Amino acid sequence: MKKKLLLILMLSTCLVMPQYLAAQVKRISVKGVVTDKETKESLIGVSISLDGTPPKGLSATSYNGEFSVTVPAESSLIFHSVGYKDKKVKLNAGQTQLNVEMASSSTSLNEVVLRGYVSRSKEVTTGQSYTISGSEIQDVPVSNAIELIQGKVPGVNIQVNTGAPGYGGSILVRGLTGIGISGSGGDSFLQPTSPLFVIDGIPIDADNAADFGFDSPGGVSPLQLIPVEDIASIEVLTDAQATASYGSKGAYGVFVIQTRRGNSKKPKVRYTGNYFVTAPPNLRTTLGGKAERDAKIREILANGSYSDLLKVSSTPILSDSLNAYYRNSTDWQGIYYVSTYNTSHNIGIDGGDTRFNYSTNLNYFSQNGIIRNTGFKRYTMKMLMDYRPDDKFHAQIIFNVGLGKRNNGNGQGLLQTGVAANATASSLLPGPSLFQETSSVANDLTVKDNNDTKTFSASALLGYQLFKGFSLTNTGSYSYSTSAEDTEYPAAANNNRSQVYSYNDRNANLYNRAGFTYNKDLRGHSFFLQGFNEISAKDFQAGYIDQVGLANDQLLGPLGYGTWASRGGGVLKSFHNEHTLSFAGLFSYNYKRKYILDLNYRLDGSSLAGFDSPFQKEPGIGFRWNFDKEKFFANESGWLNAGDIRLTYGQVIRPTADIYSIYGQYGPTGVYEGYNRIGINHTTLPNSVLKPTTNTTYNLGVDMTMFNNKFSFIFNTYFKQVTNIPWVTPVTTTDGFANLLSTDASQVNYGYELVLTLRPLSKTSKVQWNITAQGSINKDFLTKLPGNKNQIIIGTTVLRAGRNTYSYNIFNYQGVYATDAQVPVDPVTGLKMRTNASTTAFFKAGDPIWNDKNGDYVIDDNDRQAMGNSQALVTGGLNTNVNYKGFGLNMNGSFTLRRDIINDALASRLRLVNNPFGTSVYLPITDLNYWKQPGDQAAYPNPFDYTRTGAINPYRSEQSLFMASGSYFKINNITLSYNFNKQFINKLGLANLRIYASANNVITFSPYAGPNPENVTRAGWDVSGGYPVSRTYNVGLNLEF
Amino acid sequence: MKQLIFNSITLFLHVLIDFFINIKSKINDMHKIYKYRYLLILPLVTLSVLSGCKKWYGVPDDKDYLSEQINFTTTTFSPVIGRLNLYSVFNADGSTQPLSFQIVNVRANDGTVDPVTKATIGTPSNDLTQAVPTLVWTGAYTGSEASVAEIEAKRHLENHPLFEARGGGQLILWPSSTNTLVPRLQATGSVTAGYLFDVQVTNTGGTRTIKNLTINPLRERPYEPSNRDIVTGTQTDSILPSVFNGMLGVTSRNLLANNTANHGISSSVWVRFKRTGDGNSLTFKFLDANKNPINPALFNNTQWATLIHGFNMQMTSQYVRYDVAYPIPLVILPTKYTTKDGSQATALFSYTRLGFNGIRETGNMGLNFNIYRQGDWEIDFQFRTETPRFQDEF
Repeated sequence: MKKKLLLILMLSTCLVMPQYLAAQVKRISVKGVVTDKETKESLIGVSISLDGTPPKGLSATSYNGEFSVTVPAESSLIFHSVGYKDKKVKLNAGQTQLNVEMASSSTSLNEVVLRGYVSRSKEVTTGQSYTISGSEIQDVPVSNAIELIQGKVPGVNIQVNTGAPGYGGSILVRGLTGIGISGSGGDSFLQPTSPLFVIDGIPIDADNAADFGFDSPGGVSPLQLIPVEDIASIEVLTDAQATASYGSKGAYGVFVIQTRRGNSKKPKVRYTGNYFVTAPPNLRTTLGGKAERDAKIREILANGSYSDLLKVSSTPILSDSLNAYYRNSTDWQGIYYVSTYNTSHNIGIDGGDTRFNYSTNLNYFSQNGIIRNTGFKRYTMKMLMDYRPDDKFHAQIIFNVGLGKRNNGNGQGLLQTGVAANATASSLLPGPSLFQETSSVANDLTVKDNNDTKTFSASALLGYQLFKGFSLTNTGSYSYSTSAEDTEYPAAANNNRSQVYSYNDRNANLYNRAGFTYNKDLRGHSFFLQGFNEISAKDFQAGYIDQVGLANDQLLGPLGYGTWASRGGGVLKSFHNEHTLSFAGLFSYNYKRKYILDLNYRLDGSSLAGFDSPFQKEPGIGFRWNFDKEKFFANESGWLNAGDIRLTYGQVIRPTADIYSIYGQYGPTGVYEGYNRIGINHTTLPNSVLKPTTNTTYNLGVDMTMFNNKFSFIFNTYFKQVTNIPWVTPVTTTDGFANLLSTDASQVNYGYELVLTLRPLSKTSKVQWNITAQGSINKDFLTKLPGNKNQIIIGTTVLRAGRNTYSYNIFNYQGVYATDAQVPVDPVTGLKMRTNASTTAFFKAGDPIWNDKNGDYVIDDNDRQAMGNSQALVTGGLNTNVNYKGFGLNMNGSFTLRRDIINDALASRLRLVNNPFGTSVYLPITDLNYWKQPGDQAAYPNPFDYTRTGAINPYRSEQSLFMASGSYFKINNITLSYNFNKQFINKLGLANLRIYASANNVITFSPYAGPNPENVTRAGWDVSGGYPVSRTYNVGLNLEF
Repeated sequence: MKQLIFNSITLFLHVLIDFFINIKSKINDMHKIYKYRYLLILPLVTLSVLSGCKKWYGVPDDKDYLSEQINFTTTTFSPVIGRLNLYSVFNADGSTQPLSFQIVNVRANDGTVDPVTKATIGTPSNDLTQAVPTLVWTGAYTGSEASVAEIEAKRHLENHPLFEARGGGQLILWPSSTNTLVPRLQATGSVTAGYLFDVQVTNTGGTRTIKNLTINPLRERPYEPSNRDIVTGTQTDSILPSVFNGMLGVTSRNLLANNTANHGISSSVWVRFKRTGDGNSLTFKFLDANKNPINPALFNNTQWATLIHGFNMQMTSQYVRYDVAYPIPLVILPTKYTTKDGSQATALFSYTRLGFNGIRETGNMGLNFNIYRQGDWEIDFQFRTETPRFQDEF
């Protein structure tokens, strides 16, 4: 068969040959630009050849995708670039201008990547990155686009750990980078480490909380202000060789987001509308009315003392025989949790050609939270203009305006805890009404809280090609955002005095980047040289006013300062003013695109780094071998479509110091003889020799695409060493200072990442089916802690060298004492086990058996031990996409395995039943095997012995009884879509019509007994007071005119 | 897990390489693929190096933490011989539990100094490390045991070094210690009494020795309250009842009273502890000024059954006697026989009578006490001036 084909081909060539020779007479010059069909990025290094047998190589596109060839008129040109389907274009008579759009051949190897702000063919770059195209994350309305790439990018662990609208989950790129933790139990707070986001070539601060170290930022993250509909692609750079060109900000990974470009000569109007319902997850079953009262009375009769029996009479909700709520109980959860109806609308207008194109995007998104009095709204507008009057000059201007409006209700912090604390109120209490409302309920439901963030940014890119292969570009941008948080507590909710908390901040960033690129091909040897410098000036200032006793609930002012009315205020310590200067260079060499060497180097200087080490140096080296280009693979069987091996090394350095830790601080120290004094702040000892935190990553990767692109995989293994991690240690009081910031801690992460893509059906099949599975294993270890220690205990967390970074510091639960005789007796004192050496509340039957670790017959903090790992070991996802004619079905799943979490939700449910006189609801616990009578072999201790709860606290959260596996597999979203037939649509005057239905956060499969294994803090605590993640059902349509 | 991952990856790469080799060899160019075979093994080798062991990554062993700052918050101990002394003064400074403790290098603090450093080093001594049978508890004492036998069933004799350390850094001087076994008692004016010792603290993170702790024992005081000097043991004081009220003199009808001034020289009642034999009993006697016994039945308001945790009460006109288990109280646990904190047994004797005008008058005399040494003990209450007036007035 093949021989036959060859024969035909040769014959036809012979037939064509004379024509070819004849046409050779008239030669014309053809110019144009080659772009990616999807992203509209110009493609560099696309080889252009003249069709023939064999095809005759002519040239390749320059850095900005331009080419110029001289060919016989009306000949055919073949454009070839790895990652794209070859494109053959026949020139029309007299045609001298040719713009080519190349379609991706849809294998992951064949992509364009951005390195140091310049797009390059992935084939000739060495660093590890993974690209998600915008089309993969459409159709699901969420406030934070990053949520949608959960389970899609290897090495990126995204946990949607709060359902609060306008908040984002946690993002970890290749494990932990740092050991910062504070607080205890459910309040354990892991210092977030936010990756760098580069949006349309401009680096932005995605998360001020991460930068400035506070838990609860005012305002909305810029990430929330990117409409999903406008995203063309998200590229995630994970290894240090790739991120090194982005400097110290890229220490936690780099997300490069490109928005849509204009691509059609005819102006196009695209409308996307989503109409969606968010529904609360399954709420807790509670005992209502009489059942609750009976349970409480039964408990008092069984366990209470005589005086407790008398106390029943003085507790109205238990004794009032006329309490209407015995039969007509209040559903408190129903008061707080509601389903909401929301919409989002997006209009994009774009058009133009390669000479001049434009795109405008308008977005409106609104989501009311499933907890009353919370929600998020977004209005954004983007304008982009791209202008190339000739082959040498290039200008691009982007404007962005955004407004984010968030309503937190009464929630606190990143996880929005406390937002519905009153949902656990007793069903025997009357619900809120016009005449009857407790202040805490009023607090939750009537507090007016508005978080407004307004952003404006403008950027301009100018490029000029000095001579062939050598171009200069300059990109400048200015972004300004201001956030305000106004929270008003009405008088009824706040001890009869209304209160206003008014926060505002401003954040300005001036940024410029100037650089050059040069590429040169010499008979198979390609050189690419890039150099640029970046300067930025950043300014952030936040302040607040907190004032009580306003005129009334409506007149919220005047605001100011007064000794009586003010409850704090002023400029916050987060004040930040930084100037940076960076130089970066990249040299890349490849031989026939087969052997590639990348060398890069960057210098980062910051005004905050101190005079001792103003510049951080960041080197990177990468090798790549595209072995598919070797002769021995180039045979006719063609089982290997692409394959390569990559090995990289890179170092990213992040300054640990700020101006305060280097030079110390002055502050007001009171009044002396009538004068205000300014003195040294003795909290932290200044330290000018702080070393920057250094991330060193080695990466080894193998990519292969096989069997006609039916199967491909990407495998990476890496080793990341983080040294010089800052840690505050207390110092002896004789130093005069309380603490010292040192950089002696270090950490190691290593892991494996695998992406498998399968296209089981042939290309010609009517059904298109893609399956992508990816998984990452990341192990983190602490290798060193400051001060010759190998263990530091922070609340309920243990940091110990040689272990995973965060272990729980908890009591080891070993069952329940079935009988009194099982309780160990101290041979020395003759007394039973107890919880402190002076109590007489000894353990007895029904109490938990905790391991007496130190053997002193007293269960106290010395008996806690390091257990578990609060960070996930394995994360990944599974995506599948089926298309048949106009129908499409898309399913995304993500999983997390081997993570230990603390089921505080269960603990608090059991703790609720030990206060029969309280005003909290009782949840049924009949499903649990708890201790009821002597001899019971139970799984859970006796929850009802409320008189001894204070001494024993059997349901303390910090015990291994509540440490559970946080593994889960979640179906993130399912989308069913239908694309109407073009002919039918065109009759209606539309260019395209697509309708779809999607569901988000569909179902979670997990062995976990608590509500949701993902809805836990970064430190692994399932705090039941957090904001639950809602389920979304959506109907949407895409219209194109 | 680590090994599993490593193995699976190795296997995967093996399969991959075999796959390459097979597929290629089937086609053609055997020698070519073999030439490049080594390049395909390269990732395998690199992987082995990278994932072989945590050690390769510089991850230290997961060892327990033993802080450099562990210490005892008390360094000089002055226990009283003959009773249980339990010290919980160890500061683990966040070290990983369990820690094991051992008392080592016990030396008599006899003034011997190191010839070089001039530091006191003492001479080795076995006084504190000798193992002596001592009673240890196997069951929990509750205060509701109905016989001596029931109490004795909850404890038995075991050999223990007199001075021991156990989990949690607790130091124990067992009650089996006596003045003879531990002869280097505190003596007035002497700085070279007592013992020096070190405590060795161990966990998997290492061993640390806390050096030169001092134990400076005080001589045995077999009962409390004691009227003896804590150092010399000479009698210095009189023992007075803990509670004493409402009692009138039989003839004077004056209120009898405790008077602590001047060592109780003018107090109405003195208490004396006497050890009369080696049995297990406790006798209460009431004596008049001439040391003639008063009939205990005259204390008609006394709760004899729950006076102390004793059994088989024998009441005669001379005394009241109980069979008891020593020490009294057995453990530090609040029961109906003890003071509120459980540290001392309490015995309350009371009578009631009709005073003038038919007013009921109640006299109370109570004693909070401990007896540490086993034996037949007798507690005498001597009314030194007048006996109380028990009879009703008319």
